[in-house]
Amino acid sequence: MKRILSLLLCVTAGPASAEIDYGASGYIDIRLVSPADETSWLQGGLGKTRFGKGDSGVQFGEAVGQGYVMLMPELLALTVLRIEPEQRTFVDALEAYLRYRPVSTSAWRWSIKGGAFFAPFSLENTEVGWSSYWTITPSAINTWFGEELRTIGGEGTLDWRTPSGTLQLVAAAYGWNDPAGVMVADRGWTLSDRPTGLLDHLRLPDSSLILFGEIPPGRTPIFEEYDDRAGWYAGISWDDAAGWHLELERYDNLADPAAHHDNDFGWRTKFWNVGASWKFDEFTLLSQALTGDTAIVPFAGFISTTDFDSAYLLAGWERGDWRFAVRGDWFQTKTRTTFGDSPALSENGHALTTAVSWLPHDWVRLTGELLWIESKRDERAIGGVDPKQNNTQVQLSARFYLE
Amino acid sequence: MPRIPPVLAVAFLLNTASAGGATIDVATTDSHGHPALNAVVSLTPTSAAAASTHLPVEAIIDQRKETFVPLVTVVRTGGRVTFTNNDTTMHQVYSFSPVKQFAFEIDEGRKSEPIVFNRTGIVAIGCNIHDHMIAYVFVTDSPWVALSDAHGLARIDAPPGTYRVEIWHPQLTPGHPAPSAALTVKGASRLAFSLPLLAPPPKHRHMGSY
Repeated sequence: MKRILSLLLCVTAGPASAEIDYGASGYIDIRLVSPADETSWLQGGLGKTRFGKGDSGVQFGEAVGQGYVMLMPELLALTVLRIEPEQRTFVDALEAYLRYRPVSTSAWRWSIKGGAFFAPFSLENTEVGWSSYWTITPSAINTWFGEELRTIGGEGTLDWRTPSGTLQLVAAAYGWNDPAGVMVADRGWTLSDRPTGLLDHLRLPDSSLILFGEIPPGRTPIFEEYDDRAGWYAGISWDDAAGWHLELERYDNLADPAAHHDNDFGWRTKFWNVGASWKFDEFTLLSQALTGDTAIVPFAGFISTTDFDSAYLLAGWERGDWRFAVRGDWFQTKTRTTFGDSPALSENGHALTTAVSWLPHDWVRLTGELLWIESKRDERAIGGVDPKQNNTQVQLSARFYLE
Repeated sequence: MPRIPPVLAVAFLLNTASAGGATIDVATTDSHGHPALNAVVSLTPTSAAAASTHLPVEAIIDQRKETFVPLVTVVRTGGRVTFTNNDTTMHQVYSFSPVKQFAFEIDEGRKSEPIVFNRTGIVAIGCNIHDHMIAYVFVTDSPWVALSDAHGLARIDAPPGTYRVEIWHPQLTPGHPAPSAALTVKGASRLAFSLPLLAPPPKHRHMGSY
């Protein structure tokens, strides 16, 4: 990959490009899918999996390319691009940012980052393109982080490194994320490995649009600014040398819930996220819990607030070229309005995910995953579907890495 | 660009120590009985003849696929370590260890000026660009030190006398006392240590973690 880039740069930029370090990596993902019976949320349904009714057979998962340029050893420019069948544009960007991290020979180290990037809240999505180390499909919490949250702004970190571990403080200010919360409120939680591209608009459930008196299909932007007010998040983490990790974050997008552009509103979204992991021998335990709420004021005197909560526990076992994982998820939302509770827009559910990955070479990862989700959402009745549904999705993924 | 496999170089030099002394074989395992690679076995004399060290003065730490190779390097006090970059990307090598602080950039296909380690102790080394990269340099005055191989075995030749045997491993819990034992050397000796090792960091499979 780098040889190809070198050739291109020599042709386009001349010899001066040799002074700058650059490179690329990425993967192409092909799936064999046995989907859930219910129509996927990506097709306007309330199915909670990426693949639903009509999506069986061989599927193109995505192609992800990450390119970086080291403008200086301390200054990294990085972008992640993706081609995925359901996104609005042929190519979309997941991240594009500059990071300045001066080297430190003391216990303290700081960094700043500017651009568009994922908030550092996920314990699962540590791989290129926000992909998950253990499974194909991340937990409900991290699905939502990848789907509705993006830091379009600046973030700073401060590390205190000791022999026992590293304490990190993180804080960020951002804009263009006022709609964050619309999907978890109007559609509910999902489990899917499809973070939203910066140019993408997400499909709203047809039944939600009918409920609101609109005509489906409809989409909503996620990365927009309506009120010219910056949001923030801050967190603290401890990474212990003995193999355990704890973190706590507070997020508040400070969106004006009455601000809007046409029918797309700002959603005032705030939450707490706590995460913990523990690594012992060949085993890993990961867990996150999240509690928060999002509110909208579609017209004067009326407020709709959705409380959302979720938690998961993942147990992973790594042996040689094999990774085994089992994860349990629990989630719920409760929507209440000025006029009382809204059971149609409330839900609860749980999920079980099992995954086996085999990495016979560094350039290929083969993963089989079974995802079972049981959930109840009264909104399904609008489409003539039983509010209580079991979504079972089986995937075999072949992921070919380019380096 | 030197292409010497650093692990082999270190192993060869360590095993030529103290011709004529008794051979001490130390077997290291984790708590499940699996061989413990990269355990540093040190003998400190409580009563033994003085000896000059045969530990290497020069060592090489390479960088490949965003990984330092080897993970652990043992040098004598005053030893020099050269870093080579056989990777496809630049690295910014640094240490903030109290024993030795340094930082430098190294482009792909290049090697560094030697870093001199004048104080005993353990120096953790990282890359400021790729945080998952780590290596350790074990700097010692002891002439009787060996690094365990893939079978968990370390061999030391030492003259008769009494010693304190100490083990260090990068996966031992920091701040806890090092596993140790008293040893009287009269002839060939064998020791075994079961080490309460922490889990290793995840194997880095794919380039591009920033």
